[in-house]
Order: sequence, then C-alpha cells, then structure tokens
Amino acid sequence: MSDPRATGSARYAEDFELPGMLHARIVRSLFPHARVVRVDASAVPESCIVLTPDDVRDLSPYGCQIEDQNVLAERARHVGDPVAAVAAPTPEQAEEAVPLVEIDYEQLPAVFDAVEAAQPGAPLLHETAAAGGAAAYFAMRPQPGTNICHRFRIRHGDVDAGFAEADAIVERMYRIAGAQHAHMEPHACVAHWDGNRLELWTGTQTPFSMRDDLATIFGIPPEAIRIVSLPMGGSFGAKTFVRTEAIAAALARKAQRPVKLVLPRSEEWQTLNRHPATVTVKLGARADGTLVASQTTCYADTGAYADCGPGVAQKMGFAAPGPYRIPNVRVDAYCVYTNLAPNGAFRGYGQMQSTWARERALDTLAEQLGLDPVELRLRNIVRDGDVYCTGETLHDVRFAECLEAAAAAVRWSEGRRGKGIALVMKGMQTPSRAAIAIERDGDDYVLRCATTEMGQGAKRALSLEAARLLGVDVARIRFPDPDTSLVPYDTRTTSSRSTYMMSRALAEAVRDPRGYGEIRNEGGLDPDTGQGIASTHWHQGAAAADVEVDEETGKVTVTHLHTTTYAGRVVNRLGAELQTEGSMIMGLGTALFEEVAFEDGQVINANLSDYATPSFADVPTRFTYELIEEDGADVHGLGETALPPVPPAVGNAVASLGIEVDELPLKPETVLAAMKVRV
Amino acid sequence: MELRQPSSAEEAVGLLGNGHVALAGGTEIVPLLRDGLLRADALIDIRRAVPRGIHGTTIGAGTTLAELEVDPGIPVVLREACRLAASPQLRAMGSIGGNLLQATRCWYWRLDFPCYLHGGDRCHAKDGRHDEHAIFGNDVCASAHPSDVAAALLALGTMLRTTARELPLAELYRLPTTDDPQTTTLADDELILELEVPIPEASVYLKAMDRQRWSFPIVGVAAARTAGEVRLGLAGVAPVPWTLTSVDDLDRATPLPGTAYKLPIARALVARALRAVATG
Ligand SMILES: Cc1cc2nc3c(=O)[nH]c(=O)nc-3n(C[C@H](O)[C@H](O)[C@H](O)COP(=O)(O)OP(=O)(O)OC[C@H]3O[C@@H](n4cnc5c(N)ncnc54)[C@H](O)[C@@H]3O)c2cc1C
Ligand code: SF4
Repeated sequence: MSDPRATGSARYAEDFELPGMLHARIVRSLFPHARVVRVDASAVPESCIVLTPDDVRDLSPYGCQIEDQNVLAERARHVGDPVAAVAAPTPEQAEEAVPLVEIDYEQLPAVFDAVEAAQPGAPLLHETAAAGGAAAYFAMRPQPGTNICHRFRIRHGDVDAGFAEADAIVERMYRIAGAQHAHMEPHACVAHWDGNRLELWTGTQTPFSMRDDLATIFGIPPEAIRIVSLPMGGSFGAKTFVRTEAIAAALARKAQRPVKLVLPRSEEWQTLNRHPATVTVKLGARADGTLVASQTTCYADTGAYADCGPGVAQKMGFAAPGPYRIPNVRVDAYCVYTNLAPNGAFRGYGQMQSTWARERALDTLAEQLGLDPVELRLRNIVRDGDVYCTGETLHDVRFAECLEAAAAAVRWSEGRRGKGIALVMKGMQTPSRAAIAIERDGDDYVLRCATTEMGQGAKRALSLEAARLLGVDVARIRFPDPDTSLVPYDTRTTSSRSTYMMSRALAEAVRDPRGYGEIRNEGGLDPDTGQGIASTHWHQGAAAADVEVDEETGKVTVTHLHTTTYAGRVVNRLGAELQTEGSMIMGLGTALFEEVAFEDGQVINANLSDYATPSFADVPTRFTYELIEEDGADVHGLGETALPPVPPAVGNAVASLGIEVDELPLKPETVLAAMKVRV
Repeated sequence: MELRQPSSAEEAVGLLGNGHVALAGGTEIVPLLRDGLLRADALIDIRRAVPRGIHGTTIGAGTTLAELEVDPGIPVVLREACRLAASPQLRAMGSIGGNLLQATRCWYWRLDFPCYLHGGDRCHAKDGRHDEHAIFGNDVCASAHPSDVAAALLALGTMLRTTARELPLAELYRLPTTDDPQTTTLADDELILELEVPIPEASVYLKAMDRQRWSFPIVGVAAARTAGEVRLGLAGVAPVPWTLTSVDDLDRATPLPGTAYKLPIARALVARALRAVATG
C-alpha cells in the first residue's frame, strides 16, 4: 500500500474547500502594546467583508486555561495581535485589502522579558482575567496586580536544612530561547454556519477543546458545533486550541458564507512559539555525590495571552527535579505575561526548558565534586517503587538502564572529553480521558475516535493495534478523520498520550459487545504544594552526545548523537523509530541554532531562511538510538521523549571541554562568549 | 505585471529601466516582489539575452551556481563558495549574475523599516539587534553582504563585462551613503554579461555559518594565490563584498557590540585560508 503522503494524494486542511467560500486574512497590530482607537475600513472594496472589533463585541473572551483573549483585540498586546480581518473572493484580493484597513493606535508601555515582567511595577497586560477554558484541568494561581498568570510550587522536605548539610552547592541561571514549530503546513481552516450550527474543518490536535472553547465564544451549546480535524502537515503542538478558527467563524457569521483562513508563513511566528524561559537551579550534594537538596525557579514567558502556558509552567516545574532521589525539593514556577507573541504547546512541553537547566547543573555539580557525571546520576537515580517529590510512587522505572545504555553508546568509559549525557523524565497529560467506538461496515471495521493525525502516525499505530486485537488484516480497518459529531469525547492528541491511552480504550472496545471502550487516568497536583499525581505514566529517556568545538570560531559540531528511550511494548516499530529520529533532529535545532529573535517585541527572523531549522546535513554522521522494549509492558508514548535530553547532552559535551554554556542555542557567538570566562 | 522575454542583450537593454526590472533565476527577485520590497511594472526575463555556460576562463552571467559547483575547470574557491551557498533547489535556479546583485539580508530592511537603505534617516540595526551585521564599512549602513560567490570572485581578481563597460568586480560595489543608498554602480538598464575569472595557483573558501548548509555566512573567507600573490575576499562582514589588502586590515575593523564575535572568527578563517593557499 502506498502512503498517500508519499504519493502526494493526501489531502490536508489547507486543501479543504467549500463552494462559494471566501478567503480571509488577518489585519495585525504593528505595536507590542497599544489601544486601538479607530478602525476605518472605508477604503476596502465592497466585494470584501471586513471584521472589526465592533463585530465581535457580543462574543465572549476565550483561552484554553485563562479566558484572556478576545476574537479581535481592542487593546493589542503583541506585534501581530489580530485587530481586524478581511474576507474576499480570492486570497489575492484578501491580501490586497489588508493594508487598506486603517487603524489608529495609542501606544502603551510594553515589557519583553518574563523576569522583568514578573516584578511589581512592570506594565500590566491583563488587569483581570478569569481561569476557565477547555484545558483548565488544574487550579490556577494568578498573582493579582502582577503579570504572573499562574504560579506552581513543589514543597517537599526542607531545602534549607538540605543545603546546610551539603558539601557542595551549585547555583546557576540558565536560559533557553523561544522556538517556532515550523510545521510544513501552516494553520488552515474553513468555517461554515448552517443556521445556528457552526461547522469547522481544521487541522487541530484538540478537536473537543476547540469545540468547547468555540461554544463559550459564540454562546452556543457545544453540540451545535461540529469540528472535523483534517490531517495536518505537521503541528508539534502549534495546532492546539483556538488559533485562527474563531476569526474564521466570526467572518463566516458576518459574510453568511463559508470562510477559509490559511496563515502566511511569516504569521506563524505571530501566532504561537515555544516559551522562552529563565530557569535558576540550585543543587546541593554530599561529598560522595548524594543529592540532599534541589531548588528551581522557572520563569516561563507565555507572551501576550496565557494559552496553555500555565500548564507548560506547571510541567516545567514538576519535571524540574528530574529522575533523582532528592529528600528536599523546592520548586517555584511562574507563567508570566509579556508583550511577545503567545507561546504555547511545543513538542517537549515545558520539559525542554527545565531539562536543559537541571542536566547542565548536574554536570557542573559533578565537576565540583570531582565525580563522573554518569556516576553522579547513577548514585541518585530513581528506581522502581521510589516516591517522587510529588508524593507519587514510580513504577516500571528504567532510567538507570537508559543512562547506562546511552553512556555505552558513546564509549563513555574510554574517555569523557567532548562527551555529554542527559536524562529526561517527562510527564503525560493527567488527568485525561480517551474513548473509542468500533463500528462494523460489511467486512470492514471503522474506528471512531478523536485521535488526530499530524504526521506522527497515530492512525497507523492504532489501526495496527486494532487489527491485532480483532485478529483481522489491517486493510480491513478504516479510520476516518475525527468528527466531533460522530466520535466519543477524547481529551486531546497531545503529550504523547494517544498510542498509550487510545490503545487501551481500543482494547476495552474490542472486549465490549457494543464496541465501545473508555479509559481515564486520574490525578493532578495541588498547585501550592505540588503534591498529588503529576503523571500516571512517565516517559523515560537519555541522550548522549560526542562533539567537537572549533575553539577559534565557536562552531560546535556534533559527531555522534545517541538516545535510549524506554518504549515498553512497541505497537509500530517503524513509527516509533521515525518519531525518535524526528525528536532528536528537532533537539539539535534547539541545541545549536534555533531562536526566535525579537526586537522591541517584533519577531525579526520570521522566515525560514533566517530562522534556521536543522537540515539533513546537520544530522551527525553517527546518529544512533535504541528503544528499550518489554513484551507485555504498557505501551509508552514516544512522540517527544528523545527531544528534551538532546540539548543538555550537547551542552554537557561542550562543557566537558571547559566551556560552561548556560544559554541555548549554542551559536558561535554564545560559545565564544562562554570561552572568554573559561577558567 | 507584464513579463517580457527579449532574445538579445541589446533588445533587453532597450526594455530595461523605468520600472522594468531584469529577472534571471528569480530566486531573489520574486521574494522581494512578493514581500513588497521591490516594485516593478514589468519583468524582463533576461535568460535568453545573457550568456550562460563556461568557456575556459569566461563565465556567462546566466550560469547557475549548480553548474559552477561541479565544473572541474572552475577554481576551487568559486566551486566551494557555490557549493556552500543556499540550497540545491536555489542553486539550480540561481545565476551567478543574480547572486552578485542580491539585496541585503538585514532583517530590518527585509521588514521594510524606514532605514537608510530604504531612503530613511537612520540605521535600525545599530540601535537594535545586529548580530548578523558588519564589522567593516559600517559607518552608515551596517548590513553584511551575504554573497559567498562575490567574495570568491574578489579573491580571484575577477573582471566583469557588462552591456556598457568592463570593470573589476570591486568597482561593481559602493558603500551606501546617507544621501545615496545604492550598493552597486550598475545602471538600471545595464546587464552583466560575462565574468573573466583568472585561474589561480591555489585557492580556498572557508565559511562559518549556523547550520552545515543553507545558511548565509557569518563570515566567509576566500583566498586565492595568483602569480605568487595572495588576495583575500570576505563575505558577511561589510555592506558590500570586502577585500582585505593585508591581514593587518583586520586591526582596522569597526565591530558593533553585537558583531564583535565575528572578528575572532574572521581572524581564524583568514589565518587558515592563508595557510591553505601558501602551499599546493
Ligand atoms: C533562502 C536563500 C538562501 C541563500 N543563501 C545564499 C548563500 O548562503 N550564499 C550566497 O552567496 N547566496 C545565497 N543566496 C542567494 C542566491 O544565490 C541568489 O538568490 C541567486 O544566485 C540569485 O540569482 P537569480 O538568477 O535567481 O537572480 P534573480 O532573483 O533573477 O535576480 C536577482 C537580482 O539581480 C538582477 N540580475 C540578475 N541577473 C542579472 C544580470 N545578468 N545583469 C544585471 N542584473 C541582473 C535582477 O534584476 C535582480 O535585481 C540565497 C538566496 C536565498 C533565497
Ligand atoms: S544595516 Fe543597513 S539595511 Fe539594515 S537597518 Fe541599518 S541601514 Fe538599514
């Protein structure tokens, strides 16, 4: 069977059309923070429909965790904030209409750094905003009178007493730049109203969250909305929650015609990026390497709107201590508004940032103690049955195995110069729910579930699993695009949960005489103490890198990159391997050159020649990985695990040459600057 | 917009000017038009008007970078500069003439900030982020010329033949001033026809860049030894391709706070390039 993606016959959201539809473009703010004083569309030709803030005043604010965003901004909070929109018979006419919409602004003071924005007295972005939205699955802790929209804490043991016992303490501040998902296909959707029913075809990982948030916006019952999630040409977290859909739907409502909205590439950087973060880590250990205390402070820059930033900050926080036995742990994670474009879900979700910081700090600690970094980690590593700092007991723990295998892959024991290693412990969406219905159609079986396809191979993995469980050939399994009017509720296709959760629901459905299966994972954390169940299922992995640094030019070349991840039972071997390779390559981008560059809040490298994602030539000549499999074990999500440990493995390898790097990406300029302070 | 396809250089010259702009491979000009940075009433496709191909030491301005990078008769420095430029798709379309005339990659200019080069009265880069910018010739505009190919051709001592004159490559360029933002001396109705590229005894191109391929140079250093004398051409260091008359020129660099890191890189690459062409 030839893959339609390979033959070019696959149809994506961008290809979807309805008869008589109009094409939309967004008119965006030129200023990082400004009140919109006047919108004048009188110069726009009659054939175009213009949506202005007046047209959306009856619509409710939205946001998947904090309802802080309006469909169009009357107060623009970032460069690129949608202020108006146009729809025209052709995409070209829509593009030409954009500059004809005249907007007067009154500029307001702006702030572009999360640490600065969190201080008292910083310009405020949102005076009031209510928690709510389809993904507010934990209690929000906004700090009134500041830009902090969520604060998460872990309080475990007594860190002060812990540090008092320590023979060695390191404390360093780490930074990681914002990144762009750079999915091949841009955001694309088509909205259509049938009376009071809204139909939306869109590339989204979160059809039910989208439905519920649109119901809030338009003040209609969720059942009056139908979301069809079309196959996506990549997403990596970008196509989550409401992005362009509310604007398309509001335009369609005004135009009384279907409206299609496809983002031009440059507007992707104004729509969603990865949280830039500043993470300070303090670690204390006894002379023998036993960790006694860990303290982490994270500032996640969520940009102008919270989006799922509170969740990102919380995961950044709860994963910060990592897979180590530490009796005293303190974490403070802040999700902070700034006047940058919104930051949200991104493959690695919060773990990219805190894993970089912790794993770098551990190597600095090892250096100070005169211990081998692998040895230091092994001495403290969590084992089966250990209790994490959240109070939950860890099961099916394979960190030591991952670490040892990764170290062996780069011949750690034969010399450590130029080599680095790092571990990741990544949580999965908890609580969450997955359900699936199996229908018979002649000889075929039809899978009705909300798991979406973004190129990660979810459809293939679940079809193979269904064929196995039903004892039929995979050719007899059909898996239509998820349609919220036809499939049972599912939380989201995020956090590498789908193969794990949906395959368990599928097993239930196969057993059920009606062909229906549902699975829930329960848990959640107290945001003030960090106690509870962070994740019912942890993704475990290690990365090892071998690098060369040209000390005159600051150029880092990774000569060997390896990851070992715990896979449990593998459902689709090829898919698992490709996900791992993709994660590793993405990790190299973050490690070496990816950075969303801003000047006064404006992204200045919003194109794919200035914003560099890895090319195949950047893949190291030795590029290896292994999946630790276990027959009969749980299925483990693999969509992200091999990503977060890559940057710290590379950073630790660079540091092994005496170049202490704290900031990502490791561009020549960063490396040369770090060499200047070399001891 | 109109597209004209003249079949000779004379015909093309007659059509050029007054808002009629030459189009070769289009890899540079099409994005500029699309982004509204360049306005044209008509595009004059010059591919039948300008020579293409390699004849001994003469290179037609319409020759693509892809053709140059694989030709064993082309000096190493130029082959390498072509091979390390852009992406295979771009090199298959992009001509050497068009490469010499590419506009700056300065992101302020590309975002249409009203800076000197757009006829405005300040350089936004100097006041803002400018880590990709210049360390030489940055008095007015601080942009960094991105052409690897031009650096190689400078090192080789290339002569150009246009529809109006013959000139050394260095004379194709001028540093922009506050009252004239032009970076080339080419007239609106002048076409580059051919390049005369001497064969050196030894040559090399070294490029520092963010990724392994498909990146503009942070610093590119071309060196060629001809008749016992070594010439150095640099990319990514000044608003125009830059000639170093001696290593001491590096002491006269005027780096900005954000571009200071380029200087040690330039020094290292120059030293390596000189070593490479000293022998062999
Ligand atoms: C993403 C990207 C990455 C790149 N990376 C690099 C790099 O790393 N290094 C590097 O050196 N270059 C790089 N380039 C530049 C690339 O090599 C040039 O775009 C290409 O060579 C231009 O040739 P063209 O024939 O397409 O020119 P066109 O786009 O057709 O024309 C460019 C300009 O030259 C004029 N012109 C073209 N031919 C003539 C002529 N014979 N006489 C007079 N005027 C003429 C046109 O009017 C126009 O102004 C990159 C370009 C892009 C888009
Ligand atoms: S460097 Fe040159 S092109 Fe860039 S902003 Fe300054 S004047 Fe303009």
